[in-house]
Amino acid sequence: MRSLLTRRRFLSQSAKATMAIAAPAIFPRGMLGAASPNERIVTGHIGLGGMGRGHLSFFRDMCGALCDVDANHMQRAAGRIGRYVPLYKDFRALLDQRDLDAVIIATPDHWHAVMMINACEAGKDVYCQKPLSLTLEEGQKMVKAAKRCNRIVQVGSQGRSTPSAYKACGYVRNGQIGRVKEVRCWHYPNPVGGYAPDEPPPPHLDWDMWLGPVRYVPYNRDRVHFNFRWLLEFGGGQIRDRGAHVMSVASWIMNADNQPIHSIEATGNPPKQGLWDCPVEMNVKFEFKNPDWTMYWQQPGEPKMGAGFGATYHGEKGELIVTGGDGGCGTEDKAENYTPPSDGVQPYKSPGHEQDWVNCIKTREQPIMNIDAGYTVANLCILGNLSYIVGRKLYWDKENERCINDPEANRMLSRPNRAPWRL
Amino acid sequence: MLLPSLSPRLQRWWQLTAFLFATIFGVLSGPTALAIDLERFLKEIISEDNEIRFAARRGADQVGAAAIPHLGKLMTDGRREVALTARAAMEVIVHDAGRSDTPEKAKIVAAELAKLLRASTSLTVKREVLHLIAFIGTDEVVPAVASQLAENDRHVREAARLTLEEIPGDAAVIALIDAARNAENEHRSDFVFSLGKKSNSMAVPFLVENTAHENSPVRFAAFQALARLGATTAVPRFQAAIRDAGSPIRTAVFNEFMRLADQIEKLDPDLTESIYREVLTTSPADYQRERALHRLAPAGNADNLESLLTSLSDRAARVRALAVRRLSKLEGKQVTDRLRAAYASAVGEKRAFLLRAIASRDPENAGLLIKSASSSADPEIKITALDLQDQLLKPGLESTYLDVARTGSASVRPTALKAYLVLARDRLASAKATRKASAVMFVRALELAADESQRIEAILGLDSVGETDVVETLVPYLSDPAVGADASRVFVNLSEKLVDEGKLDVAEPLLTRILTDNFPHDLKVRASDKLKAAGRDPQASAHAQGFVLDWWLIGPIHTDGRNPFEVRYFPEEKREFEGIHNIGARRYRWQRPRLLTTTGGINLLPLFRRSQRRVAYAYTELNSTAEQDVLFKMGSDDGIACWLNDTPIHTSPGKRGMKFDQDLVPARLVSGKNRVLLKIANGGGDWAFAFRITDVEGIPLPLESALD
Repeated sequence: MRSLLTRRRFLSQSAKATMAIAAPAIFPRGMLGAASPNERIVTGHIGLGGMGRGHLSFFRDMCGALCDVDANHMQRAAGRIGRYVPLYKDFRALLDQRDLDAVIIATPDHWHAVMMINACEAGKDVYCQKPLSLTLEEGQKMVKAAKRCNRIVQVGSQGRSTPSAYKACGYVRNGQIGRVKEVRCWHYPNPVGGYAPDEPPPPHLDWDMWLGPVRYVPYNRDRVHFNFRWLLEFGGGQIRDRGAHVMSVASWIMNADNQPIHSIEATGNPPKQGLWDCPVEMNVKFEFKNPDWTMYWQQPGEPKMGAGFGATYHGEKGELIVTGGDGGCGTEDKAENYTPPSDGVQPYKSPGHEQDWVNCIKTREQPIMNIDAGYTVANLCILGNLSYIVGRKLYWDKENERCINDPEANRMLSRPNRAPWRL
Repeated sequence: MLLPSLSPRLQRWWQLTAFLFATIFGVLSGPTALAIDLERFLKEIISEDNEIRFAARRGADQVGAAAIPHLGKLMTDGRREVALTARAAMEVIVHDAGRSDTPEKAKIVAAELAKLLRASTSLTVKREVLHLIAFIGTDEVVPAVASQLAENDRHVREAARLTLEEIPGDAAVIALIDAARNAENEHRSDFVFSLGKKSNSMAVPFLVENTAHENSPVRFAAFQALARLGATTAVPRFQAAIRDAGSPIRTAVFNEFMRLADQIEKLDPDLTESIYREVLTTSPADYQRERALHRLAPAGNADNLESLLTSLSDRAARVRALAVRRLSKLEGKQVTDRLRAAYASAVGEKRAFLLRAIASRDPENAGLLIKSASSSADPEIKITALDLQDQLLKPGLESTYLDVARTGSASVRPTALKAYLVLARDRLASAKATRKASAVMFVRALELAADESQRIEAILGLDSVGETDVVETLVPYLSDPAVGADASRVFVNLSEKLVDEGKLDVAEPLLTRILTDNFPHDLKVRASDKLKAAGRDPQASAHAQGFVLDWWLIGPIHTDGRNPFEVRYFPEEKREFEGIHNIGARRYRWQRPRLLTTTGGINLLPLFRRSQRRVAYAYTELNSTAEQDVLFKMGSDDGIACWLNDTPIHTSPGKRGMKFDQDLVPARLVSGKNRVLLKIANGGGDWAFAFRITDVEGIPLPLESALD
C-alpha cells in the first residue's frame, strides 16, 4: 500500500482542483493540476469508536491518518486499515498533516464544533457525525466556518441517502398524501442506568482529552464512549441521537431545511435513579409557521410497521409511514412503487451518504445533508431538550435566533468551553 | 398538601412570598408552614423509596431557595442516589427561578448558591454550584464566583472562569481583567480569551495591550478575543503580527485576522476587503489564500477580476483551481476583453489557461489566436493550441509530448499526456510498433496520468496489448476506487494468460491476491476457478483445517435497538430458502454465495454491506460418518450463537473483533446429516465469523457438506 501514498504524493504536486465540472467543457480534466473530479481524496479520521470504525469500511482506501484518545480504539482501527498511516491522539496534529484533503469527525457530540471549525480553518472538507452540534451557538459558528472557509460539509444523518427515504420524499413532495399538517415521530424510550461509581480512568484512555471542551466531571464508565448518549450534558438522549436521523428525513421530506421554527414545547419523565439523566419518556411539539405544520417527537409514541423508530406523515389526503431514519429507512409499498411524473418534484438522489460527500468535494456542490440542513436539524434536537430542561414552552425569534423573553434559556444556547478549547 | 385549594401557580407565589417575608423579618427559625414543607421535602429527598425521592425532586421548585443549603450538603451524601437526587433537585430550583417573570427569585436562588462557595464546601459541590450559577447569576454573585479563581483545585478555578464567561454585565468583565492581570502566563491566556466572549468592548484596551505580551499564547489569546469582539482599533496590531515572519503564532493570527474581517463585514465592508486582500497577498498558507480569494471574489461577482487573474499564477493549485472555477462562472464581453489583455502579457501555464478561456468564451474570434499559438516555440502553448484544434496526432512531437507530460506545468501535463496517449493508440492500431513498445508507452502513460480517465485509457491499452510482463505494473491501482475495477479485471486477464503460458508459479500469487483482498466477487470466482483448473485449490488449506465454507446466509436483519440475543428472528423458527421473508417493511432472502475465503474466515460486510446493529444467520448441513463427540471452534465479530440440530448449544453475546477459535464448544454429532445454525450479531463496523470442527483432541475434521 505504500505505493498508494507515493502516488498520492506525486499527484499532490499537482492539484485537487475541480474545474472540469464547473468550468466549460473546453478545459480538459486535469488542467491546473490533477483537477479531476475522479481524483483520489485523502481522509483523516478523528474518533474511532463504533461509528468511526464503521466509516472505515467506505474510506479504508482513502484513509491517510487516524486519531483517537483511546488507544484501544486506535489499535482496532489501525488493524482495519492494514497498512501504515500516521496515528494521532491529538486531532490538532492530524489537521497539520498537509496531504489530507478532508476529515471525518466521529467523536462524541461535545467535540464536533471545536474539531469541525478547526478543520475548516485548516482548509479541510468535513464529514461530521450527527447531531451537528451540542449548542445553538456552536452550530452558528460551524455554519459560518464552513461558508467562510468554502468547505464542503456533510452531516452524518444518512437517512436522506437511503433509497426508501428518497422514494418517500418524492411521494410526499408530489402531493400524494396532500398537504402535510402533522408529522409524528416515534422512538422507544431512553434507558435508565448509570450505576457505576466514579473511578480513575483506564490507562488506555486520555480522559482529559475525551472530555475536551466540556466542564470537568470525573471518569465514569457509564459516561464514556457509547454511554455519553444518555447524559443531557453530552449526548442528550434519543431525541438527539436518533432525532437527528428521523427529523432529518422529516425536514427533507417537508422541504423545511430553511424553515425556521416557531415554538417548542417539551415534557418528559426523568429517570428515577442512576446517573443517566435524559428523560425516559418524552413528548415534544414543534410548531412551524408559513406554511403551518406541526412535528411531534413522541418517545415512545406509536410504533408502526414493527420498527422501533420512524415517523408518520399525516396529510390532507392520506398518511405515509417512514420507518427508521438512519441507514435502515423503510417506507410503505405505495411510496416504494411510486415514480414522480417528469414534470413533478424530483428530489435529489444521493448516491450513498459518504459517496455523495466525496463527489461534492470534487465538484464543490452542496451534499444532501449539508451544513445548513445539519444546523436546522440539530437545533430541533437542541431546542427540544432545552424546553424539557427549563420546563417551559419556548418561542423562537427567527431573526435573532434567540428564545423570546427567556434570558435563562438564551444563556443555555451557548456553553463555555474548558481550556484550552476555544470557539 | 398544605394549600390544597390553591392552584400550583398560586401556591408557588404564596411560598415565595412567605419565604421573602420570613427572610426579611428573620423569623425562619419559627415553625412556619414553609419550614414544615422544607422538612418534609428533605425527608423525601433522602428516602430509600425511588418514587418518593423522585416526586420530591420534581417538586423542588415548590420549596425553592430555602432548600439549597441542605441540598448542597446532601450532594455529598454517601448514598449515591440521594446525592444524585439532591443535585437534580437543585437544578429544578434553578430552572424554575430562571423564568423571565421572576428575576428577583433568580437573584435569591443565585445568592443561596453563592453562599455554598465557602471554603468548607467540597470541591465536587463547588463545581456543580458554579455550573448552576452560570444559568442565572448576575453582578451580585460575581465576587463569590471570582473568589474561586484562587481555589487550589484547578477544576474549580476553571469552573469559575467558565461561569464568569456566562454571567452578563460589567462586573464579570472586570473580574476577568483582574484575574488576567494576576494570573501566571499559563492561565492568563484563558482569561484573556474569555474577555472576547463577553460582547463587551470595555476590555478592548486591555486586550490590545496584551497583543504585545511577552508570552505568545497570551498574545494569541488577545488576538482571538479582539477578533471576536470585532475590534477595528486593533487592526494595526494584527498587521504587525502577520508581518512578523519569525513569529510562532503568525499563521494562526492570519485566521484570527480573517475572523475579525468577517465580524465587521456589515459594519465596514471596505476594511473587510482590505484585510482579505492583505491575506491573499501575504499569507504563507495555501488554504488561507484560498479562503481569502473565496471571500474577495464570490461566485458570479466580477468586481475582483484582478484578484482572480492574479491567482491564476498562485503557487498553490487549490488557489489556482478556485480562480478557474470562479472565472468560468463569470459572463460578459468585458470579462473576455480582460482575459485577452491578460493573455498578451501572461507567461507559462497561466497563458495556456487564458488561451483556453478565450477559446471557450469567444470561439468565433479566437481562431487566429489559436493558429498563431500552434506554431509557438513554447511547447506548452503549442500543445494547448493543437488540442483546441483537435490536431494532437503529430508523431514527430512524441518526445515533446512525453517531456511536457513529465516535467511541464501542472496544468498542461494532462494535455500533453492526452496527446501521448493519442500517439500510443495510433501505434497500436496501425501495428507500427511491437507489442512491447506499445506496452512501454501505456505503462509510461499510466505512471504519468493525472486523472482517472487517462489511467483507465492506459490500463485498457495494456489489456489490448496483452503483454504479461507488465502485469505487476497494475498492482498499485488494484484498490484505487476510481480505476480499481478496470485495473483488477485487466490484472486477472493477464494473470490468466500467464497460467495459459505455463507460468503457474508466477501467476499463483497474483491470483491468490485477488482472492484474499477486497475484490469483486466475479473476479474472485475467475481467479479461484483458474487456480483450481491448474491443480492449485486455494481453499485446500482451509478445508484441511476443518473450516466449513458452504453456508446458506440471510440478513442483515435490523435489531431496532434491541438485544439481538433476546429476540428470536424467523430463521430460528423455520428455514425456507425460497422466496422473500418480511419483518415489517424490510425484506430478506436466503442466499448461498460461493464463499471464496482462503483462510476460513467469512467476511459478512461485502455480502450485506450494512453492519450497524444487524443480525445475520448462517445455516449448513454436514454429514458425519458416525455419532461422535467433536469441538465446534468459532470466531465472530461481534457476538455469535449456535444451534446443533435445532438445540441451542452456545451463545457469546459480547462485542469483539474476530479471531479464529475464540469459542470452543463441545458438541455431539449424530450419524448422518447434522444441522448447524449460527446467529452472528454486530453492533457496527467489521462483521465476520469463522467456524471449524475438530475432534476432541483438536485434530481437524473436514466434514462433507450435506446441502443440496
